[in-house]
Amino acid sequence: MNNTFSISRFAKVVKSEILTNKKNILSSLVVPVFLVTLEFLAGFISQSSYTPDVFSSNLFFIGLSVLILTFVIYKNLFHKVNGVYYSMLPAKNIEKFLSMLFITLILLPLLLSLILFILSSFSNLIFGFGVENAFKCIFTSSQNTSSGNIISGFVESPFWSFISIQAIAIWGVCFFRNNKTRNTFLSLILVAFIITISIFFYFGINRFNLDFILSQEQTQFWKTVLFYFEIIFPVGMLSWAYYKFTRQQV
Amino acid sequence: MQNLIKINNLSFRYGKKNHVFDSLNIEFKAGNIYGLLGENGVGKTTLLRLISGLLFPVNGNIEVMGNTPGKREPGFLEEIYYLPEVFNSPPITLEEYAKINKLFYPKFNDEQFRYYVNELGVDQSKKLSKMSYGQQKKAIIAFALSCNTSLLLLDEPTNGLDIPSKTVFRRLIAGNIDLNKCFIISTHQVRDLENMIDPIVILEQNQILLNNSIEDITKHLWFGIRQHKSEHTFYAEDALGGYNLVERNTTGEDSKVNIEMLFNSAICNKKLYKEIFINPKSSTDNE
Repeated sequence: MNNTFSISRFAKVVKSEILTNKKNILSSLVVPVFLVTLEFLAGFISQSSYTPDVFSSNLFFIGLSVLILTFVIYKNLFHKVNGVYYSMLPAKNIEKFLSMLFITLILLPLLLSLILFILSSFSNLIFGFGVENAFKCIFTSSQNTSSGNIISGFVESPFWSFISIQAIAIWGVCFFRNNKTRNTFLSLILVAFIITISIFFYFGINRFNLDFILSQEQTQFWKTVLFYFEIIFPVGMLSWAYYKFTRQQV
Repeated sequence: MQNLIKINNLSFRYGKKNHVFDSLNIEFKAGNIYGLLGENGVGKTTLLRLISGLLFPVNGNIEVMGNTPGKREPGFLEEIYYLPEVFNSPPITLEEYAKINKLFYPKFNDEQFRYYVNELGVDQSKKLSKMSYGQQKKAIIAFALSCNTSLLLLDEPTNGLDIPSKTVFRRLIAGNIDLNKCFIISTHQVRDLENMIDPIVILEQNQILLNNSIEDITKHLWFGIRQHKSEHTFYAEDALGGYNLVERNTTGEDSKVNIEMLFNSAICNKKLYKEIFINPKSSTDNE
């Protein structure tokens, strides 16, 4: 009886999760790829010299995909009926919890990057230009990649925002007993509203425009916001969700 | 026989006021198929979930094979299988389900699984989510039995099964039990499990009315039909040619336990049953 964390058991849980959720995972791959392709083709057809800004649309679709898949997969963990299956599965709680995190946070973005890379190569062959390297979009910062600083690029990459988005999804499924989707969505709006109001009060009404605010990227204010949003917030949310899972009574 | 489950002074409640158990003490031994009976809401499912570690006691402790269930350690979970009344049916075939989940149960036996699936007549290539409730239940029963866990907890397993499947179910359960295993079956359908469950546990609000083997029960009670009731009659129902009776067995005559009659009789004579079966010493003193 091995009651300590086991890599082989963790791999079994990952495998079991992938096979059980294969339809959801496939949808999370196909839908964003389809949307990125559609956007690319629409831009290409409307003006032949147009190169779409797929950097941001890649990020948006991949982020949305991560958010939805996280929500769908973790919903089972905190479900009155399906929760029994997960609680009784012979693996450590941490192995079950991390397996889902691994699928939604590592596996899905990597697979999406790979598919978008293949797509990019094809479009390069056919149209002469391709979509932005999705891997770069997710795992590096748009500012630091040019200087070649991979580590600081990764530290400032959108990957960490994905974790924050995921933390909100996990918090939503764990916190709300009923109408999980609606309530999480409303909470997201509320959080966005609070952040907007905070920024509004911080900068004052006269200087409340997006260009000015974004130009303040290097200020202490933004560093503080990012510190809370990308480190304190997700770590706190994920720890809390994990604790709730271990103490879950179904 | 080895004690697989020891429950000491267990208290449990839902919320602050809904008390289900208060200082409950009970033990379950290996080599038995326990029938867990009780009226609606007395806590049969709650007890199974407490043993599985799905619920946590408010007070007291539960020890299952030397483990605390609430910790949900893998070594404990691979030795227990809990089949709830309503369960998870993922959109995969039974074959895939078994392939994925058997990896977690070291004693899973493929040959047995094929045999059970065949006996219960389940289509392995059909998705679980597309099956009827009865088919889903048979599929999960086949898987549960093939896991060969030391402890198998079944909550209303015969609900949804057709009549031939109930017969097969009884046969498979009886064939799977051995001296190292313990099955606990919670049910309302007592007739479905007649001749199979032994010992019988009857739960009543906050207490146990009976936790005895069939042999013990027949030593104390007599079941049968007589023309007249007597002073020893605990419970009677009209029957052809007289009364269907549960009486105190004063002569040592052997009889066959009628579980439905036993249950009704226990519910009507709670104090008496506790005196006879749970606190036999005080009963003797009274006599």
